[in-house]
Amino acid sequence: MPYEIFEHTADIGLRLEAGNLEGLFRDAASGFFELSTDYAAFKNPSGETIQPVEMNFQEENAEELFMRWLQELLFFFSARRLVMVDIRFITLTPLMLKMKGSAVRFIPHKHAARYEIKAVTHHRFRVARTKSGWEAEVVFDV
Amino acid sequence: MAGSIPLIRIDDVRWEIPVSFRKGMRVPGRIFCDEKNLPKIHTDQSLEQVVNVAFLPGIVNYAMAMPDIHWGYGFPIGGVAAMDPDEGGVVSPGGVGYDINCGVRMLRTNLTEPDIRPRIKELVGALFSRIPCGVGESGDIKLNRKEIRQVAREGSSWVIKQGFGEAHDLDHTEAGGCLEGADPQTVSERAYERGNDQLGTLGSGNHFLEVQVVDRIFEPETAACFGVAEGQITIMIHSGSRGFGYQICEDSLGMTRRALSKYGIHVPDIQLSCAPVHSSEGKQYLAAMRCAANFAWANRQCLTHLVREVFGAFLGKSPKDLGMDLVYDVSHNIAKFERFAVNGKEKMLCVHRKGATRAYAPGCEELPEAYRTTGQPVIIPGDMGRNSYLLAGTQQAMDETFGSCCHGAGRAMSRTAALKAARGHSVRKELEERGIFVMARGERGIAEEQPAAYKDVNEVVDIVSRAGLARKVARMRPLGVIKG
Repeated sequence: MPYEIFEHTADIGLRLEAGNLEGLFRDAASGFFELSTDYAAFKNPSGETIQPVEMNFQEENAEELFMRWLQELLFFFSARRLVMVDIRFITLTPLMLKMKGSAVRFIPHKHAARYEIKAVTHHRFRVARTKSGWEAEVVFDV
Repeated sequence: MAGSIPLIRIDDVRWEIPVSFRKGMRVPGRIFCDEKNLPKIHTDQSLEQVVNVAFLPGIVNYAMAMPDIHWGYGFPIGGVAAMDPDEGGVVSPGGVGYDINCGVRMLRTNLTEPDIRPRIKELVGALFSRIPCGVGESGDIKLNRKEIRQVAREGSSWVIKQGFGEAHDLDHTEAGGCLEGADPQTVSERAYERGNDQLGTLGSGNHFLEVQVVDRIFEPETAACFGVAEGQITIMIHSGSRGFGYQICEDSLGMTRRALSKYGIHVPDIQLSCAPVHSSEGKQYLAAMRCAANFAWANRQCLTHLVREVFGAFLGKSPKDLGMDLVYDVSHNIAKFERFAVNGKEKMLCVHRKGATRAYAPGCEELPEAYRTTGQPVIIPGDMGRNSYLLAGTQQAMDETFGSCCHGAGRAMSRTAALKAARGHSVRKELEERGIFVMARGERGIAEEQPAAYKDVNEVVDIVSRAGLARKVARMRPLGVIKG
């Protein structure tokens, strides 16, 4: 797995390390959706309607950009039941994200459900540049 | 680290973190716990969070934690803090939590265990198929934008007007199921989008619906007043404001983070971001939080209606004939303005309860006439293998904890640790062997919520009882459980 799950008394955390920012954001999306459902089943959708998804936002630093990314994924999944199956970053810098991708609708009873992630918390939230790339920690309220 | 935080013993169930422990603390920390359970608190960072809460501007008397204390975000779960708005007191979204007005309600019935026991599997199956629960499940109640705004403004009373319950349910709901001052204009479009199909849904995680039986009465007169007797079937519902509230909390944290520098407030943990109660940001958060609180009460009211329908259809009698009255509904994640005596002067305070339950004493005007001599019913769910409790509020709680006590058992084990502990055996089967029938969307959820993952609620309730924060009235044990 491109991430590690760590323990929090009532909730679930992800610890990520990646060679570049794109890897970090992509791995975080995998982690988020794998915690929420059987993500592998969405990778080869059959007979599912694939919907286009676009995101475009700027923040003041990499930490806020990463938080926003996770919050967007959560909103798309929670409000619209959309699971991102293809993510193409058009621009990704520590301050800006432009993404075009596609998503498949999560259908309860048809798709496996895991955690209902309520929120991306600021608790122990961390994004940092390292010698070998980027690392981050995030705790999800479940 | 929490292990190095000094705890001064006040008595068998009270411990204090001195205000001198860390520069910046405005008040001491006060922990309600006994010697036996103290080591469990030291296993996580929850005491550090009590210290952090003591930094908040305008905090009165103590940063408090109940015996079900465990690691939360910003505030510990089990945390209570009252702020004086006239002394620069703040309101903190982290002091309420993401699940705004998560709470519990309890219904009584005229049924006894022999009426239900032989058909408990069927009954739990009927409840499970009727009550939406789990990830991505939407409810049958679809709200347009105008209607969800009415729910946000009016809470339980609006859904009762639509036929989801009885007018007298409102008397037995904290705050009558509606906080005044909710302003739907302060709620984001995203929150409305997350909430518009979630009314009447249970959710997942630790939310549940239980069919229970009363197995012990401690105060017969009070129990009779609450409509509860030994051997009787009761129903407990634990849920909150769903995606609507989570989104409101998320939106507000961004706003209160920016308010920190604007008002020169230092907090040791960004998850404790806050704004003065009288500031525009404080007012905006409170107006939006009240919308979520009202949504949560409406949600539990709709769930109550579904439960009554299922029982009625299952037993071939009307809910009225089954005596399915609401004993009470209490919030355990909320910030409310409440009046308390501080140093002999009556003050209107902003009381934060984060995993803590209001426990008003006999005589409080806010209580319905029927409960004014007994004190407020305080509902404490345990875990799905042991017990839950019905308590009553006390004057001691009014004097010491701003009318608050614990909210549940409190987690003792992380979710991953619980999963590891469940390897090689079926929690579901073990519970079934003990006469407790559980239905959930998956085995994983049952394993994570297994009884061993929680502190023993009997010990937690014993501590609040010994501290005089609540009186034991009745104990229940589960017969059937549904979980998301």
